Amino acid sequence: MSGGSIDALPDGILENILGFVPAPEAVRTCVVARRWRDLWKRATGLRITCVADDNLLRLRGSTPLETCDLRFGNFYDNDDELLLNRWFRHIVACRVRIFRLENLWSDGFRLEGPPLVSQHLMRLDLVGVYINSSVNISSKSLKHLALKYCDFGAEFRALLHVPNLVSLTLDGHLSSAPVLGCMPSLQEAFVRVTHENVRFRDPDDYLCDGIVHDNSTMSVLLEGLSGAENLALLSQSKSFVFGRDLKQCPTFSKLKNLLLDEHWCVAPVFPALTCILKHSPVLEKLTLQLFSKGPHHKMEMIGRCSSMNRSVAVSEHLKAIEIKCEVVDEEVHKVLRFLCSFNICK
Amino acid sequence: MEVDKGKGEAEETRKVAEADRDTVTLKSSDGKLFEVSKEAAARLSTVLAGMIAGGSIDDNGTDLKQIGSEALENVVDYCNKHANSIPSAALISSSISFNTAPFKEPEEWERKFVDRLSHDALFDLVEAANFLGMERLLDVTCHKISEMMKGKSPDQIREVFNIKNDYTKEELEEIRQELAWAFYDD
Repeated sequence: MSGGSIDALPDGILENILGFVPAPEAVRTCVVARRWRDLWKRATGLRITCVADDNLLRLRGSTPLETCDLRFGNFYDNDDELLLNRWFRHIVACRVRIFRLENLWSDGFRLEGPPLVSQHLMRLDLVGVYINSSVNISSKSLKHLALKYCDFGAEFRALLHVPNLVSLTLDGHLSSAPVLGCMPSLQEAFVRVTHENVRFRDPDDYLCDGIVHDNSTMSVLLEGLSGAENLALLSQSKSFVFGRDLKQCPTFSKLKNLLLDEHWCVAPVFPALTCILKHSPVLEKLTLQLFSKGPHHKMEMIGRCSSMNRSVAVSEHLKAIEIKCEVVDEEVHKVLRFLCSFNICK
Repeated sequence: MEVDKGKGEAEETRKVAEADRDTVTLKSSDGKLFEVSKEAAARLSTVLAGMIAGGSIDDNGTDLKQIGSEALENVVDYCNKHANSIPSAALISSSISFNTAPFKEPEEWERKFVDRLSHDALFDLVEAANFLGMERLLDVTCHKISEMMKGKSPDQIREVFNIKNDYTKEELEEIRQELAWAFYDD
């Protein structure tokens, strides 16, 4: 027992504590007492909130890291981007398991190649990062991946080879969305395509809405997401971005919960909605978020599905359809009328 | 005779019930017994998970000689609170909601859980979490201790944690010069 004194705790615990202290402060604990002199170098976590000089990473060397939370704002000179790229690689080389890199400012930060390969990463969050085409991500250890306000280089599509992924968030201007490899353990995926990436300075850089229609017939997103149990496919873009992939719609063989928005609901025949429902044989709940960005919606209604006279095109497991919207207007009515063909009692 | 037979049966029933009951009994260094959800213990502690899987759990109280009763009570309390927070997790998987939990930070209830502890209790709990291989509780307790350090000068840290400065003046000066980049905004 520690007897109420921090001195009695083993080094391992002190290193874990220092992992929660922001980097410059953690370094300064070296003058507390002799025992503390080098503890910061072995801290299991690294929390950095600005890109400064190289000393910190140089002195801690390649000691393994559990977590790294690296947030940065303005760059002071052109070399800062290079420096940050070097840090990113260094931290991955320290076998980091949980890594978050967040750009707090509107200036774009370009993450340059080579491919990101790690057998240690378990969770990776990149926020506000422009990911160069050459940065394919390849990791068998990665379980959780979130790319928010990120964009991808347009030269060619990046590949995400993360076969053991459990959760995926792709939220940003996916003008050249990455190609997703097979992910059989995927439990949930949230994919939202925004009209323009507000975190970057110049939206005019983007010439088109949504996913670029190149000549290949390869499915970009949906094929890789087809193993998910919970799936959200949303689009703030003017054009419907998943249409391309739907031409060869995969079967979502484990999909139980599906969240879609109004872009999937185009009257009168609702081709996209019909297509994905037809390819979701075990779907239990469908949520439609119509003309309402959320997270709070003025109107929320749930329809329970009756098993009688059900359309053959819909999963026999479908129990409920939930509609979230601001107001029940003509457009929402069209959707409701279409859903009635599934024999839902309201 | 009738009575004895009845007793024997009851004994049998009790043994069967204990074999597949859903709690385990833990014994602190000072001999106090605590019951904890078997599921939560196995999920939150690698050491307890190993003991449960290896059958080395003692129905009369598994000895944890390194952990005092106050710390063990907090460990058990934490496990049981975690077990109770499962329904919300089940709720999440039944509707679409995505993990937006901040980066390795404790949840609100976990903060409250450690906020009420005295220094002594907190240090004992962090050691118990470390001993039992409870990664999450270790993070929650370490996070709390780190909060007590943040924004403080080395002098203040020594004061808060009652640490004796065993450096000489010359040594301190040397380190400050060596790591000037970390001290320049002091």
